[in-house]
Amino acid sequence: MTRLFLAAGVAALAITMPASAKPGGGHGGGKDRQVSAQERGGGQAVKARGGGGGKAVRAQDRGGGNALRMQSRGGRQAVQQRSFQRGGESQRRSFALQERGHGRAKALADRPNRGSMKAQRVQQREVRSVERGRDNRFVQREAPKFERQQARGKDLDRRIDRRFDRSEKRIDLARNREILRNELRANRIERLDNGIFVRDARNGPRLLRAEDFGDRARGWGVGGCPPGLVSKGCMPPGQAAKLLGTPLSAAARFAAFDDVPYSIRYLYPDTDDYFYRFGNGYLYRVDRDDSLISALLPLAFGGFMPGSYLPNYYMSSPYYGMSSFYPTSYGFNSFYRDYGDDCHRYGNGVIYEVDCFTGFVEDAIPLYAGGYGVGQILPAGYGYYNVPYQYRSLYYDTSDYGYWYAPGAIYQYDPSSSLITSVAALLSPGFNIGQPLPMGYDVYNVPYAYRSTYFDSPTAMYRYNNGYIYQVDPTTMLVTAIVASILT
Amino acid sequence: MRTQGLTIGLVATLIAAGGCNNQAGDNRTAAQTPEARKAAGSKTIAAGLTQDTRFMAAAKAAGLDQTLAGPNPYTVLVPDDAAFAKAPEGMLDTKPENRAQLTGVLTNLILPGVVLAADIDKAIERGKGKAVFATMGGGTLTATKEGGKIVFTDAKGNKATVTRADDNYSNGAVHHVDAVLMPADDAEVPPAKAG
Repeated sequence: MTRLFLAAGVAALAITMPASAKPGGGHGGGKDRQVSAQERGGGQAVKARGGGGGKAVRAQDRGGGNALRMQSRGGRQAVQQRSFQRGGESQRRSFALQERGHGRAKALADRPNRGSMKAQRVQQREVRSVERGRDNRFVQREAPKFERQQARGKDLDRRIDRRFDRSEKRIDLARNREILRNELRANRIERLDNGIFVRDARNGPRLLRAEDFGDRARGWGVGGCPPGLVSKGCMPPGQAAKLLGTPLSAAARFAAFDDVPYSIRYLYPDTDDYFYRFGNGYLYRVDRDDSLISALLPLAFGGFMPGSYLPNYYMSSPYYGMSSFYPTSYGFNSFYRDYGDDCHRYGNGVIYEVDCFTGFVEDAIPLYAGGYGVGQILPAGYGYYNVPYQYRSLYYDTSDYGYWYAPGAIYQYDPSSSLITSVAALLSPGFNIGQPLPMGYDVYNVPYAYRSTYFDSPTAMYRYNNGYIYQVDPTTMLVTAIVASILT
Repeated sequence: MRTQGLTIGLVATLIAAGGCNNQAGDNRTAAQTPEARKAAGSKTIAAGLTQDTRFMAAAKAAGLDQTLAGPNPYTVLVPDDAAFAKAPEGMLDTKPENRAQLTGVLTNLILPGVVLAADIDKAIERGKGKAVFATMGGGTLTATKEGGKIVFTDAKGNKATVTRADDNYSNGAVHHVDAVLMPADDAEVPPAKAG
């Protein structure tokens, strides 16, 4: 009702004042609120515009006349908003009008006072409702807090319970462990008393009987084999030799026999007279007539594993020493020199790094040239890919075949059995830039496809070696450049 | 629009750079002429040699047949069956236990790269009557001319005359010889003495 009166009052004012009203752009859109007061000359003018429901209030004093213009374009909302503003400005304005003694202006000035009272009531109502809302929110906010506190309390209880359980369990475990330890200690003492060899492996206590190994129960690891080679089949040569002439079943005690892998069966074909079995690093040739082992072929390291001992004749004879080393041109003699207690011996295509005094094999480096090759087992520690860069696009590991580089050759091997199936490539040592052309490479040997490009001339010579074509200076006979890589 | 322009420009630059690389870096493309490929033939050494010879049997036993079927270029001196028969007894046995020795002998007959008869002649001329060849086994062979024929001599003094030269294959050349050349004594591997 009050609103209606207010609206009517404003409408009346709008009707009574049109003559002095100037058209003004209602720029009050949005929430912009501008209050500007300009005083020009001595006159005052108050102009209020509420365009489009906006909140723009502008007071302008122009000329000498007093005028109050109010344009209500935004209807009721604009009026309400304007009346809402009266707390400060409108009152100030009305007082100013009253002071000037304009009766009309005075009458108009009373209205905003009434409006302001109403607005105060509205404000109070709103404040009350807001406070009510706050109360509700407080309740809403506090309720979960309370629940959370309750939950926390429950959690704490549970945690305390768990802690208690755990400490109880710990005590139980400690008790059990003590009992177990005592049992083990008692067992060990009992077994030692009975003369049985006991060995503790890294992965936990294991009790092994010496009689299970016989002569093998000494040396490095089980039976003198390095730990990694046990599964690959490792048997000291002395033990292996004893198996000659024995039935295969006797050897089965030491080795898990298997058929020769298919990939290398062509190298060890069964005949009417004998057949082969493979296991423990050796190939066993069995005579079909009497089923006795007639031959043993070492497939790994020529029979001498790291951790075993080279026989005396290897250690004392110069025939097996590095002076007899086969691939002299590869520079191994200078590379593997004896120093201190560290000696090198060569045999069966393998360089053995041994203790000079005991013959204990510390390492075995397989070489191709001496016969280390197809049909032999790739050592357990040599399963990683090491093919030289220029050959990698040609020889890469697949699920069927792996490739392994050793000086002089790239081998193809069967990943499942680690047996070398073929020699993928024979490699020469290669040249270094700046070195003299080695003996034996004086002859032109560039492959066909490159001969039209790289041919010998008075200014340059070309030689193929190890996948590359090298340029050689004919005057100095020094290798000057690699001019082509023919494999990559 | 601007991004499209940039992309097109970038692609064009890359193509141009790729073209430059092809021209400058890949010697292989420039070197492999159709004539060269035709001269080389399509068969590898392993496929081209007569399969039922003793040399091939020995190569298979030593796992070298795969080597001669690969892309690496080699020159192989192939002794004929009669030459194998003349070799010391047991030396070229294909039994597994003899594989080390057999491999040593065969790798001594393989030279790196492609060496044609004309190249050997030139090398002998330049070397005033002889030329030394490095073998894949790490040893050396000496070539000379005797009666207009090329003769290879091994470290032990064994001689082998080239009876047929320049069998060309995609991965090398083959010269047939009338004797088996042996590696040097120190190259011989003692038999395995297990235990």
